[in-house]
Amino acid sequence: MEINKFKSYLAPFIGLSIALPILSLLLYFLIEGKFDFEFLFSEVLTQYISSTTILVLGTFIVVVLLGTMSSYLSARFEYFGDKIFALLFVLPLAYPAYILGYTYVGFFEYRGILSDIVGNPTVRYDILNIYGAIFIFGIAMFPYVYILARVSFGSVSSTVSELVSLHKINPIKAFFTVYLPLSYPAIFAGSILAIMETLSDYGTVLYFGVETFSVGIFKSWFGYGDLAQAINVAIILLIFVFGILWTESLIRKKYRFVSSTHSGKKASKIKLTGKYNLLAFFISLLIVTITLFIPTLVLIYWFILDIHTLDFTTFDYLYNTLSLNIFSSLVIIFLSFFVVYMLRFYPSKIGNITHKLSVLGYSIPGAVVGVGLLIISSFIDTKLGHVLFSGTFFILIFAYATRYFASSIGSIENGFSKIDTSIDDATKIFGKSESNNIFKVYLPLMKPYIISGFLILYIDIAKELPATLILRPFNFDTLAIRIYELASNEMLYKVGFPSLVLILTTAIAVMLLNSKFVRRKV
Amino acid sequence: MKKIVDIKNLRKVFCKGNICVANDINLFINEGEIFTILGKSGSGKTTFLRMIAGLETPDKGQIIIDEKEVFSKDTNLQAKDRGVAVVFQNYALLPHLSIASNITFGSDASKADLEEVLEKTKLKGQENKFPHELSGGQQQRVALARAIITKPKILLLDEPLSNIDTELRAHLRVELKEMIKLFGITALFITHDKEDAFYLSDRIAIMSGGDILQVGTAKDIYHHPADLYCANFLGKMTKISENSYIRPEHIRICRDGNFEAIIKSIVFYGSFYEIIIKTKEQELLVHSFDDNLEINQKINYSYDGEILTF
Amino acid sequence: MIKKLTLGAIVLASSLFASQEVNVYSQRHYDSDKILLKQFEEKTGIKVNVVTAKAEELVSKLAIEGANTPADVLITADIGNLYEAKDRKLLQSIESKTLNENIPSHLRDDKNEWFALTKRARVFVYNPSKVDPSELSDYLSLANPKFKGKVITRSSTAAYNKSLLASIIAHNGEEKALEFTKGLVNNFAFNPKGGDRDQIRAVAAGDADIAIVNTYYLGVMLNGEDKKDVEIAKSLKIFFPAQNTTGTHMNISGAGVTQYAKNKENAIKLIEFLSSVDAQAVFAEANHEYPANPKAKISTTVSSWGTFKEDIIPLNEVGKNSKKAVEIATKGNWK
Repeated sequence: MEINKFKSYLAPFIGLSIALPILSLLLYFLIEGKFDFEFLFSEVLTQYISSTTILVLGTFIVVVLLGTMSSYLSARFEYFGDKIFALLFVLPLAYPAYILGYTYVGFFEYRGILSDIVGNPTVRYDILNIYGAIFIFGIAMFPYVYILARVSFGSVSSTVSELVSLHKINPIKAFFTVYLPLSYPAIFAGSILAIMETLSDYGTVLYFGVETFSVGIFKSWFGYGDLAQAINVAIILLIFVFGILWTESLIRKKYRFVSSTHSGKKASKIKLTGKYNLLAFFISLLIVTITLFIPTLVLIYWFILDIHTLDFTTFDYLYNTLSLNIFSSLVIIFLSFFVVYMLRFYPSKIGNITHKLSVLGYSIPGAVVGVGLLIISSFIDTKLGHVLFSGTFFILIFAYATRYFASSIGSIENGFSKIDTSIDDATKIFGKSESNNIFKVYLPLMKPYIISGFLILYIDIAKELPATLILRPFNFDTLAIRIYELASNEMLYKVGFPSLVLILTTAIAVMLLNSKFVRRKV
Repeated sequence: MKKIVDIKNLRKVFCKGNICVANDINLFINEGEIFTILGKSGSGKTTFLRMIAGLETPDKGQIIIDEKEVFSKDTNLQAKDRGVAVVFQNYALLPHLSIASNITFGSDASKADLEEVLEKTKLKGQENKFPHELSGGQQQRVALARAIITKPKILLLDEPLSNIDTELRAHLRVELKEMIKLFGITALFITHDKEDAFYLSDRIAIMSGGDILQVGTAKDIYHHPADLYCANFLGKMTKISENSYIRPEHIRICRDGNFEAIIKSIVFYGSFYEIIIKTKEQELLVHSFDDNLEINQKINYSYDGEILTF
Repeated sequence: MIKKLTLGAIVLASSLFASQEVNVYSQRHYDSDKILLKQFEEKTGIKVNVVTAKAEELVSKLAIEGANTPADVLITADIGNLYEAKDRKLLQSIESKTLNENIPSHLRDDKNEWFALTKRARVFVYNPSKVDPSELSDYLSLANPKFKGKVITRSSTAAYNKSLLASIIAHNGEEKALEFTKGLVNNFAFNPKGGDRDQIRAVAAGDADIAIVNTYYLGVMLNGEDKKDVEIAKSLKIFFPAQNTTGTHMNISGAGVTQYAKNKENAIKLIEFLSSVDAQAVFAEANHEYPANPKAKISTTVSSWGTFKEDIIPLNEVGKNSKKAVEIATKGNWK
C-alpha cells in the first residue's frame, strides 16, 4: 500500500514541476507585487484585449475556412492530384510563422518579388498590420484544423452517406447540413490549437506591429523593466486562455455525438470527373500556392541570391538544432508516457489538477516561460551557493517541457485511450511484474503514438525561439536563432539558406507524421 | 469437500450515489466445482469477481483462496499473487503478440505445457497467428488457454459468452464446460443468462443489488426459490393469488381438473405451448404439451406441483 | 620527486590554460563581431564564450542571475541599455589606461563602468527630388505642420528612438519634448512599423519624404548584395540634423565588465582589444558604423557622407532620461 501511495504522487510531482515556471511567476508576483486594478481599465489593456481578440477571431475564421475546405476535399473525394495535395496541405506546419511572415513581406514589399514578377515597381501591398498577421497565422496554423477535420470527415459512416443519397440531398446542401455539423468538434479542436499557438507567438506579432498580450508582456518587462506589470498582463492572458479553454469544453460537451454517426463501415470516397474534378484541383492548387508554394519560392529565391556567399556555419547550427531537439523530444515524450501511465494506474484528485496545470504552457509566450525558469534556477543556485542550473541544457529542456508538454500529452493520451482497460486487468492478473508489463505490453502498443508525439515535439521545438534565446548555454546557437539574428539585422535575403535547412528537417518530420497517420489502423 | 474460495463479510460501497455494491457477502466455492453468480447488470456481480481477482479493493471483509488469506484488514495481495486467472468478457488478448506469446504471457510455462494446452483447447496450428486473425470463438479459447496454463487455484470468467449470438453461444458453452472439466479446475462464472447458469453450474448464487439472495443447485433454486426475484430469474411463474405462485408447467390441463377455465390464447414455442387461461377471477399462465387445445375451449385444470408462497 | 613536480606543473599549466576564458553576453549579432572575437581568441589564447539575445533580455538575465551569473562582459547597443545595466548595479568600475587612451572621455562612463565601441548617428534620410535640404534643420523642426504626412520613423519602443527622445528631454526639457512628440506624430505618414530599413524603403517608394534612421543601415544597403537595396539607397540622401544647435544625436554600442565577473582580467583585455585601432576598423568597415576610437579608419561609404557636428552631451544624461522618454512617448501617442 505504501508503494502505491508513493507511486500516486509521482505523476502529480512531475505535472507540478512542469507547471512550475508559470507558477513561479505567480508566486513572484504574489510576494513582490500587487495586482494593479487600475490597469484593468486602462487604455493600454483595452488595446491588448481588442488586438488579441481581433487576431484570435480573424485567425479562427481563416483556419476554419482553409482547414475545412481542404480537409473536406481530401476526405470525401478522389480527384486529380489528391494524394499529393493531402501531403502538401500539411506541410505548412514545418514553417515557423515568423518565416512565413518574412517571406510574404519580401513578396509584397516595395520592389519585392511580386512587383518583379509583374514588372511594375508600384505593385505592392503593405501587410505589416493586423490583417497581414491574421493572414500569416491563418496559413501557418490551418493544418491543425485540416488534420483533425480530415479524420472526422473521413470516418463518417456509410449509413450517413447512404441516407444523404437516398434523400437526394445535393452535395453542397449535404455538406452544410450533414457533414459539417458532424465535424464541429474536430474543427473546433483544431482551431483551438491554432489559437493557442497564435496567443503564444511573439516574433510574428512584433514584426507585424500587432499589440497582443504577449507583446504587452514583453513591453512591460523588457521595455519598461517592470516585472510586476508584465506579470499583471501575463495573468490576464492566462484568464483569457482559461476562458477559451472553458468555452471549448462546453462546446465539446454539447456536440458529443453518439458514435453511430462515426462508426461502422466508412463511407467511400466519391470519384470526381469533368468540371468538378478540375474545380477540386484548382481549389487545392490555390490553397497550396498561398500556403506553401509562395513562401517556399521566396526562400529559394533568396537562397539563390545569396548563393555566392553561402555561410556554411549553417551546418554547425544544424548539428546543434538536431542534437538538442532530438534529445529534448525523447526526454519529453518519455516523460509524457510516464505521466499518463501513472495517472491511469494510480489516479488521484491532485493528479488531475496538476495534469491540467502542466498543459498550460502551450498558450504562454516562450519568453514568459524562459524568465520563469531563470527565476527558478537563480533561486536554487543562490540557495545552493554555487551555479548548478543556470545556463545549462537542463534548464532549456525544462522550458521546452513546460511549453510543449501539451502536444506530446495529446498523442500519448490518444494512444492510451485506444487501449481497453481490460488489457490493464489482464496484465495485472497475468503479468510477471509492473515493469515487465510496461516493457512487454504498453510500450509496444504505444509505439506509433510515441513516435507521433516525438515528431510533433520535434517540429514544435525546432520552431521555438524566445525561450531558446534567453536560456541557451554559451556558444550554442540553433538554426532558429541564426534566422532570427539575420532577420534582426534586416538581412532578409540571407534568411533563405538557413530557413530552407531548418524547414527541411521539420518537413521530414511532418511527412513521417503524415504517413504514419494515413497508414495507421485507427 | 475442500473450500477453494472462502468469502466472509465482504462489503464495498461506491462513493458516487452511495450504492452498496457488495453488502456483507458470505460465500464459499468448493474445489472442482463450477459456481455461477447469476444476476442482472448492476447487481454487483462483476465487482464481486473483480474483488476476488484483486482488481478492486473491498471496504471490508475477508477473502481466502486455497487456505491463504489474500484480502483482509491487514492484507491485500496483488492480483498476480493470488493464484487466480480471469477470462474477460472481451477476452483482453494482447493484439501485438502471437497466440503462443499471448498464452504464455507472464507464466513460466514450459514448451510442453504450451503444447498440452494448445491441444486441449483445440488451438493447435494457430500459435503463430495474431488475435485479429482469429474468430470470436477461437479468441475465447485463447483467453481460456492463457488462464488455464497458469494452473490457477480458481478460474474467474466474466460473462465470457455475453458478446456471442445465440447460435454460437450454445456451442461455445459446451466447449467451455468440457475444457474446464477436462483440466479439473475450479471456476467462478458470472452471467445474466439463465441458460448459461443451467448448463454450466454445479451451484448457483443469485445476486441483486449487492446481496446474495440464494445459493443452491439449479434444481434447488428452481423448485424452492427463496423469493419471487429468484423464482423469476430461473423461469416464469404463474401468480395464483396474492402471495402464491406456481410454475406454469405445474398447472395441468386435464378433464378431471379441480378448476374451470377458458383458453384465451395459445402460442407455439416449439417444445411447448404457452397458454393463457381465464378463470372467473384472473388469468393464468400455463405451459402445456397438449396439441389438441383450442382458443375459447372450456377446460379444467389442477395444480400438479408445489405451490410457492412468498 | 622530479616526475611529481613535472606532472604537477603540467597539470597546473593546463588548468591555467583551461581556465583562460571570458564569458560574454552580447546583443550584437553581426558576423564582424564573430570574426573579432575569434581574432582575440587566437591572439591571446583566451577562449571566448558568447550568448546573444535581445538587450533587455540580457539585462534581465543578469539581474536575475545576480552573483551567480557566468557573464564577464556585457556588450550591447544603445546607451539606454548600458545606462539601465549601470543603474541596476550590474556593471563594475574598472581601471584601464588603454581604454582611457583609446576611447574619448565623453564616450566612456564617468566611473568607467561602460565604454563605447561604436557610434551611430541618427539622421534624416530624405528623397532629394521631393525635399529641399535647406528646409531641414533640427529634430524639433520635424514637428512643424509643414511636414504633415511626410515624416516616418520606427516605433518609439525601439531603443534608438527612445534614446533620441531622451536626448531631446536632456537638452530641452520634458515639456518641449512632449510638444515635439505630439507634433511629430501628427506629421507621420503612417503609424510606426517595421525597422529602419523599412523606413528607408518607404521613402524611396514615395510613401513619405523624410525618415529618421541610423546612418549605418544606409551604408549596409549601399554595399549589400541586394541590387534593389543598392538602387534605393543611392536614390536617397542624408541630412545631419541639429548642426546649428546641439549637434546630431549619437547613440553608441558599448561594453562593460559585469559586477560579478569571475574572469575580470580577461574581460578587461577583451574590451581593450575591441577598442584597439585594428578592431575598431573592422566595426567601421563591416557595418559602416562610426568607430569610438578616433584614430581608427572609417569606411569609404561613411567618409563620403562628410564630417558633421556630433552631440557630445555626456551619454549618461541621455540614459538617465530613458524611462521618461517612454512616458512621454506614451503621452504623445507615439506608438
